[in-house]
Amino acid sequence: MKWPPLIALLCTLVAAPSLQAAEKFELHDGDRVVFLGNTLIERENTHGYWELMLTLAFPERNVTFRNLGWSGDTVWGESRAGFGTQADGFKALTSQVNEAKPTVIFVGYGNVEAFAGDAGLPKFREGFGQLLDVLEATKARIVVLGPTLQSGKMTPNPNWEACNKNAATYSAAMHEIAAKRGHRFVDFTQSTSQESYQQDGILGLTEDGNTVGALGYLYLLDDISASLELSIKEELAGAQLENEDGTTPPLLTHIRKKNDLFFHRWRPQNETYLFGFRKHEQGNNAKEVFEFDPLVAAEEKKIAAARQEIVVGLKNAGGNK
Amino acid sequence: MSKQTGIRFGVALWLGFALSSSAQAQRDLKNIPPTDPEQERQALELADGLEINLYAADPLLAKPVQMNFDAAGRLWVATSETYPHILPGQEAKDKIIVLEDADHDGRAEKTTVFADGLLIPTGVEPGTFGGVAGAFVANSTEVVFLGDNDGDLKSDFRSTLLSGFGTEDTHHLLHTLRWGPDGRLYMNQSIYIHSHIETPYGVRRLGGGGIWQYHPPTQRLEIFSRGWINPWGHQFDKWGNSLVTDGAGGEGINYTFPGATFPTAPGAPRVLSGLNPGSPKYCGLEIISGRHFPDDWQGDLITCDFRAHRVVRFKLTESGSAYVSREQPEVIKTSHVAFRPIDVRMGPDGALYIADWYNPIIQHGEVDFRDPRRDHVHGRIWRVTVKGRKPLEPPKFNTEGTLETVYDQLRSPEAYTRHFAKRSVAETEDVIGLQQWLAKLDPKSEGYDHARLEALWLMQTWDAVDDELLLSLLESKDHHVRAAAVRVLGQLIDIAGDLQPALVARAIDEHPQVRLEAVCALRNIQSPEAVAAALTVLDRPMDEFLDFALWQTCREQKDVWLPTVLAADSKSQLYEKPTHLEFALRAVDEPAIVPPLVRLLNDGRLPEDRREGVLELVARLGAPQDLSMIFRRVLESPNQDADQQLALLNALTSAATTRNVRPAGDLSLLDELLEAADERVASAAVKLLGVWKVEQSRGDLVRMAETSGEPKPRNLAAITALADLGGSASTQSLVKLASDSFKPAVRQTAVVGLTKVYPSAAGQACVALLTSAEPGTVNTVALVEAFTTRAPAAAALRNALASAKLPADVAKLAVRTARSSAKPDQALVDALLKAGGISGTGLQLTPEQVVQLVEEVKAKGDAARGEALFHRKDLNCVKCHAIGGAGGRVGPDLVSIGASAQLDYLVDSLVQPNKAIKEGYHSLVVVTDEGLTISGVKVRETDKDLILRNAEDQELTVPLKSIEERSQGLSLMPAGLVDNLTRGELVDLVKFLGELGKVGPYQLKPDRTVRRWESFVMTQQGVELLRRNRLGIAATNDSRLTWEPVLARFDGALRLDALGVLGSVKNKFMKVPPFTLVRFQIDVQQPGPVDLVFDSAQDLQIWIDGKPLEPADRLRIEPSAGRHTVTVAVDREVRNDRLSCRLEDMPGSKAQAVPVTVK
Repeated sequence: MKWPPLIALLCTLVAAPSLQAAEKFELHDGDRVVFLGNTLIERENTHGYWELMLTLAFPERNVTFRNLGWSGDTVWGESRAGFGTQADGFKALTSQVNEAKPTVIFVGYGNVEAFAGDAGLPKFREGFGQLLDVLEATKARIVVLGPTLQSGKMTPNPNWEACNKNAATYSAAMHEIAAKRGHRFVDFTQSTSQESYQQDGILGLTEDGNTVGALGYLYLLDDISASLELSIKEELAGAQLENEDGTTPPLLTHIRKKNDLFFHRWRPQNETYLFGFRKHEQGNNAKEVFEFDPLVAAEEKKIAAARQEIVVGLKNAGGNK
Repeated sequence: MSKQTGIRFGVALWLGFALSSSAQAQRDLKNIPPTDPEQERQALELADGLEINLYAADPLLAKPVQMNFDAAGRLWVATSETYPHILPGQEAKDKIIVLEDADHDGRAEKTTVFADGLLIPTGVEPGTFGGVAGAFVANSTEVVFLGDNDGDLKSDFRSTLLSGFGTEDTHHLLHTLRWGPDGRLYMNQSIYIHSHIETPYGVRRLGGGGIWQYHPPTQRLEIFSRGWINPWGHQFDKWGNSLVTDGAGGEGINYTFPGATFPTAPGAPRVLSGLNPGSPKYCGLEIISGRHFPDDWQGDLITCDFRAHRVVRFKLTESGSAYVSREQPEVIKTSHVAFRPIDVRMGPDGALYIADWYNPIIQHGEVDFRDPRRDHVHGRIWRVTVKGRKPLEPPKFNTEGTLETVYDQLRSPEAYTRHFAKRSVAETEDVIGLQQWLAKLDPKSEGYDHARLEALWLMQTWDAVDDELLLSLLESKDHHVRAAAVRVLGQLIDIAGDLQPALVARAIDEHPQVRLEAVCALRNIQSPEAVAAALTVLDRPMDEFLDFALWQTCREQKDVWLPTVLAADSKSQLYEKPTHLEFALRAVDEPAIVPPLVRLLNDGRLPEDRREGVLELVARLGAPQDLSMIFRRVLESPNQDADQQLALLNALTSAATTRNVRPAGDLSLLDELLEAADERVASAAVKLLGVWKVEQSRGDLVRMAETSGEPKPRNLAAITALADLGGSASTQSLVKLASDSFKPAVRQTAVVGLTKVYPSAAGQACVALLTSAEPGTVNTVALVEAFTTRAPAAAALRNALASAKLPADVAKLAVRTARSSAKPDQALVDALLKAGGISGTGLQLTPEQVVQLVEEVKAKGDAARGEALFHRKDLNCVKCHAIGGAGGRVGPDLVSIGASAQLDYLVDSLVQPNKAIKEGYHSLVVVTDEGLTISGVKVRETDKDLILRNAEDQELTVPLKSIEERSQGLSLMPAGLVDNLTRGELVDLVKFLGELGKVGPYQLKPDRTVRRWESFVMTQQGVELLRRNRLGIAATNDSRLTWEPVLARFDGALRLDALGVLGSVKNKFMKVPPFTLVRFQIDVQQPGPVDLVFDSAQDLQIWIDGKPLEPADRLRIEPSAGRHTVTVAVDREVRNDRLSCRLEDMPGSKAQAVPVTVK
């Protein structure tokens, strides 16, 4: 499957103005952005589009990103439990977030939880509140990302409408709770209920009608960008996504590489032997996991360099005007 | 040594160089085994009539992990050079490669890298998805579809289908991708993996081992079955039945079905077992099918004993709802240590293809990830053919135009062809075309129903169903077809028409396999009627698998049927069949079921023989008023049925200790039973008084405890009860009872009681008892254990020992006990050593000394002497370890340890058992709310209990609620076990272990030699019983006799010299020669004649189930189905050395019988 030119999609992405009047969202020099959440968040790791655009929105600022997404995860940290209980999962989530020392957190949940429908909503509201308690304790600025809908055309689930109704209910609940606590909320249910998303059969906005596909990340970026009032120059965004020859430009390449290295750092394979209950056998090799830290740092230097190059290019282009 | 022999024997020599320093190992890399494939090939010994050639080898491929053919006959191989762990800075560049043999000469001439940049891909299965050809690949945390749009055999499209698979261990990653006949992609994961997958239908989570069932077109992902450690093999037979092998389990071939659960599944209260208990561990699985192989190979299972470098073969025979599996002579065996067969497939030419991972190092956890001996670059695919038979013409599938020729291929004798016929049209959804083809089939033609079953599966692949076809197959004359059709209906119940009545009828099908599938399929209908229908299976003969399936159905559907039964004045149809309802309630096993059980008891319709069990269940789960009812029954039927009284008393005890529930009302009524005639009943009643803390009975208990005669069990129980009663009065009584005016048994029980109520006095009393008691009158192990399991008591014992002297032998036993406790208290060990005046420094070896020892093992070790040591009683090896299933189950089965472990590892394991612990053999230490420390290896954990196996090979059930603290313990193997061996003995023992599983005399033969015997233990009671009865009482199952396991040696013979000798009386009227009593058990699945073949039998007396047999070297018996005991008395005047027996089939007999290997 060949993708349509990315640039075409970006038109919608960059243009949308925001209606929100709250304090302007900004990333500052030295900010550490953490992405926390479920499958939607985890897979952004390999695409890197959200990170790329947030970088390009503030190209002069040195911001670093850590993706702590875990497939199938919930506000209770269920996917992080390892051999332990759900409570252990939440403990793990808490320490993973704290270790990343975030100043900004994008937290995306609700897709998994919404399957519990109305009956599960009170428990979810409580869990989401507890999660926000933990995140707020870090003093980071928080942006809440709601669940996406299933694509009616693509999903094989005949009961998709009921699922979408549930997802919308959970999204509204998250919106309400986030607003009450003064956090920004990005609503994906509007854009994913649009015909372009619902009827998508060829673009690959979703992988399977449910989880978001590569282009879907760009599609949803529109919502993020609008909610946060990001302004990215259209020609800049397009050029940084894909070179004319179809290869990947340096900034995105280094972002993906960095994400890959960090994945080995925070979710290493063989965890049982390195840190778990068989560490007496291979625990001596656990030191290797920490050797990923300088590799991540080195890749971040390359990201900074690529970003600087873009800034210089922008200035030069500005000067020519 | 000449260069040539250096190459020839280089492998073994090099392996012997088990160095602990990597720098040294690097220097010895010059001793790498010869990697020439031809040399390896020459070392492979093939079964008669087979030959082998190299299909592909490095550098065309490295480290194959899984392989699967595609419809074009190309072989897709997942390979990983990164395994076991990515190095920081290393690119993940593992590959999917495609091998082609276009000219059909049996050798791949072309390799294409289909995809690279993967991270330890552990499974590949080619297929189409969304009209694009490509492959499904398990890639660490995800399953991706790698598509090939332009047909150049290079992936140009990647879709992440599923993500969230765990990676806790890279040899446990998602693996064994396999298309089922139903068009579902089955995928296995291993024990440490925890997966969390979002699907359009909700999240799916699986912690632990199991098999996923995935249907790409509908994105449905479900758990097919659970359990195992490393289920590295899965294949479907001709009828769609699943067979599984486990690369770390010990039960050979496993038969699994929807919902089946096997050992290690977290939270599973009940599990099934495999078909070959005591087998080594296997990887990969294939079923022989097709005309290239002779008739007697058809349907046989081929799998790989990768530890021992063997490719093995099993024959399955149907038995009840499942199978009997029996190992056949090897397909391949070799002493080439790098030959590591790990996958096996039938190819397009009818030959058998074997993936050889090629590596001298196979351990993952136990050997350092960075051990330089790990091979990262080699790999082979071998091709096994039958001499004198031509390879088959590879099939072609013409998917252009009408698909009729493809459908014709559904009737091929080769499973390969039938499989790829279905795969090649998997996305066509040509329902009408297929129906037209079906209409033209001749109903009288051979295999008509099987062809229609293939068509049914193909429609299922398309998520379509033809009701008429399905209905007709549900009525097929062939039970295989009916069973398969039932499963299809169960999976498609939502889209099939109203076929529920047809499904209900199959629950009482005449064939148990069909009934099993019906019981499983009925789970998919959410109604009490479906459960009632499943329960009708009870009206026909049951077996273990059927029982499990029904139990599972009742549990899974609990929320559907139980509320209707619990409703007040329930009119549920389930009450109409009391035994059915009893089964369903038992399956639920929670307090909610007590009212319906009581209703069943009261309405009088429950058969008499079921009542006792139901009463016990009520006692175990009931509330105080239910327990009062039980209590009344115990009291009101005195002396009528002691067994029932005992069972109910035990159940009441368990209700109090595990749930803290007691009967309502006056508990001191129990006093009535203190004088019960039956000693067991009296003891249980006495103990229960303590557990219930019936203070009014204290006087009676004191009187019973203070017996001056030889204490009976009830007297000792009274002492324990006093300890349970607690309080200062108990302390006073126990201090008195521990004094030397009482018999040692009384004192011992009192001391143990004191550890609970007054630890500081317990220490002094224990030392006094140990120093003064006559040898043999005190059980030192039990006594010391009471201290090591309670920290304050241990401290008291330590203090008391400070100024004490213990007899050396007593101290040794005590030290061993203290060392093998959950958390060895070194200060206590030291105090015991000092008091006994013995030295405690165990054997310590530096890395250099290990190397030296290993050298000595190779040069001088004598495996036969080592084997004798292994069986020596005081070393306790056999107590905990089995070889091929025969022996203890506390530690790993050692059947192929020599083939998989290096000698340095073996030395380390003997000297420092805690250095590297096999997966699944870590102990768990729990502290209960009573302050008791319990350690053992986890057997399983349910939602209520934790079941541990302790070092005594006993299963202990610990209620989860009582656990206050839980931590990882060490190995249950105590340090210092080999300390008392001479160096020569240690060398021999290591040599023996090092030979286990290697080709030679220490590889277990797949015959049915009796390997686990039991020897009569001369307890006082047992000897008396024998004296007063005929010798034949030993051949009955009298529970008053004690037996202990003894194992036959590798040559199949039991050594008699170490066994006890009885009898030998002679006067002028009589003569009884000295004799030894041994026995073994056999399990009979299919009744019929079978032969017991003894080495010689003239001097033996033989009984089966207590009936004497006329001795003969070949003794024909005709056992019924079930377990039977064969008891043998050996005249030791005639025979003093060895005894052996094996089971052999009588030609033509249908009998299926195997010796029992585990207790």
